[in-house]
Amino acid sequence: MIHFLFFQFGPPLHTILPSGWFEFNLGIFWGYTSLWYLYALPVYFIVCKLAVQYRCSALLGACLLAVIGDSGIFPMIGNSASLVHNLFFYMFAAYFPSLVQGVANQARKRLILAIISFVVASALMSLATYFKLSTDTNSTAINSAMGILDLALGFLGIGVGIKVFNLLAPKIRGISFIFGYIGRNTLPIYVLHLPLLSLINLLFAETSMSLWVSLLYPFAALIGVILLCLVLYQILLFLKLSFLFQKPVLTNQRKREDNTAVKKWMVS
Amino acid sequence: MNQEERLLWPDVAKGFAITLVVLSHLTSKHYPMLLVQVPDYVFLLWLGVSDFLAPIRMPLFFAISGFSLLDHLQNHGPLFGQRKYYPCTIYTSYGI
Repeated sequence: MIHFLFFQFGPPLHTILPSGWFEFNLGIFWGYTSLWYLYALPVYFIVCKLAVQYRCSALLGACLLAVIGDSGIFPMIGNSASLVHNLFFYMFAAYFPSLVQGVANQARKRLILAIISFVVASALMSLATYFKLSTDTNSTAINSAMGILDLALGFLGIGVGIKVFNLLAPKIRGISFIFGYIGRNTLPIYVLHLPLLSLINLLFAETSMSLWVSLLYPFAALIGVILLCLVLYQILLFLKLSFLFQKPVLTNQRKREDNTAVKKWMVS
Repeated sequence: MNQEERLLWPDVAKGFAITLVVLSHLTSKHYPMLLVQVPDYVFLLWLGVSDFLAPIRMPLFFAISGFSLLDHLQNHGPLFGQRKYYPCTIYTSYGI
């Protein structure tokens, strides 16, 4: 709600904003705006918990849902297509963590092949998307085929990511420390970066840049925005506003939950 | 609970994925505001980098989030009948 209020009255940013009560509800309770991850995670959790007895069927269902969502048969509101598309990846890792850990444990196995396959496939997919957009193609068959390819590519991307990070994390300590810290603080970065970007829009909209500055600017801005998010988060914690980043609970059990929350990432 | 026992790669991978999310929003929502000053090919270059890494960005983020669900799926009992899940269930149900 704070996010919506900020963008209703705040600086400009190319993002979806609610224009009335109905869209406001969509924004809060459905993956309508750029904050759709916040809705996706509880939805995915509930779906996975409900279908835990039927893992393979549920995964197949998630795959079909993703393809149907990408096909364009049904109109998708806001970021709903992304919400439906990514359930498959979440569900796969939730139901088959031993496979994920297996990929991590065998990080060196076929690593080069996986990286080359990913680079080629991702480049081809980017080209296909470009041609699809430039020719304004909107066929259900093509959309569905691209949806399937996108799922396969995402799967390959996960494999490459797991292999690379498992291999590099213990070796490049400095970078691992930075990304590890970022990884443990994704919520404040996700929630705060868009308002900060809109403020930076105000600062730099009319600024002239040389070629080299414009080339390097996104990299510098990326570091700056993430750093600002983390600093702002620490300030909010200092001001006792940590509740802004915590899930609602009905009982006084947050401490007990916090103690057990990361057990699954622990090596037994 | 010793922090050194915690697996490092899921945190690092998730950190990289959220960095790509910020880069994606930066190139698609903020960079266009500078278009007057930024040459088209530089803009397309960064947009291309972000697009190229898109198959890692969200799939990896959600896969790591799902991976961290293991404990809840195995050890925390059924969804219904547990007060700690009520807010999440009510929220999701209303959304659907």
